[in-house]
Amino acid sequence: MSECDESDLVQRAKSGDDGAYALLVERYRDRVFGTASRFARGRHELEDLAQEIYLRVWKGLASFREDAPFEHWFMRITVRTCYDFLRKHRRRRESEVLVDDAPPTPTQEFDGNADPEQQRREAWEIVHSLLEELGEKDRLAVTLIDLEQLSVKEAAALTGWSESNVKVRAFRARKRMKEIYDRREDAIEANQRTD
Amino acid sequence: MKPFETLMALASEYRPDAEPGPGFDTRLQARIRELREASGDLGTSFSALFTQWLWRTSWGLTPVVAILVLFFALSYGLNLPEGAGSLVYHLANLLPVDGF
Repeated sequence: MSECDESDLVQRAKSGDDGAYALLVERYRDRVFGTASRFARGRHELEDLAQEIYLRVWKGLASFREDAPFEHWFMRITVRTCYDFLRKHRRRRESEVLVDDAPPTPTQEFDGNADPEQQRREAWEIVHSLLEELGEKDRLAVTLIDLEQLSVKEAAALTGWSESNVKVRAFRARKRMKEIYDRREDAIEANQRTD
Repeated sequence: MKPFETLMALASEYRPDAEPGPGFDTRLQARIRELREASGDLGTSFSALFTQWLWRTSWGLTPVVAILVLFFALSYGLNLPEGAGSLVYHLANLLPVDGF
């Protein structure tokens, strides 16, 4: 879809055309669900979060002034909603971690013969469990920089933070995750020696 | 276990199952319709409340208007002196000023 088509769709959606908004929903589906899936746990949470993003965009359409690209405005709302989602669910997540605090461990060692997709999935599960240990801001920074592979400038534009703030938060988050990961590794090795 | 950097690189390549389930669009559209109707209702109820308030205010002002009409009618009916357009003027004449 060209920029011109998108601008037309945005205009129509602003004037109350639900069909035009449905086309925008479809157009941004991969990006919304892709980003939201980095923050949500399970399908139910993912759909709730994605719906919240689309509703916020819909409510904000009237205030969209078109002085910035629609895509940028849309993704800022997406990131902001994900951040608010993390803050809102923090307490519930903390209590769940206490109940189920066994971190995921890889079923296969890192070798060339392992199924690459399974390796990626296992790595994501471990990283996800490490992300759960971080504060919302640090988690958002490291997710955008290290997992979504955005530049510091892009991440700063989406979060509204300064570039140095993003850099510092991502660095601190990475360091903290590595510490937790190393502790887990030590614990596993100690268990193996005992066995 | 994998080195941390490798783990992060692998995790970044993994795309979690990020497809909406069946009925997602329908639920979203229904929610948007609900919100639109709710905002429409809010508009209606605000306008109804404002009209009600206006009527009440108008009726509240009725006694004040009636008193003013009565006062001016009496003023003209009693042929009060020319230039005595205000009650304050007449009342001021009644004030005892002896000794001042």
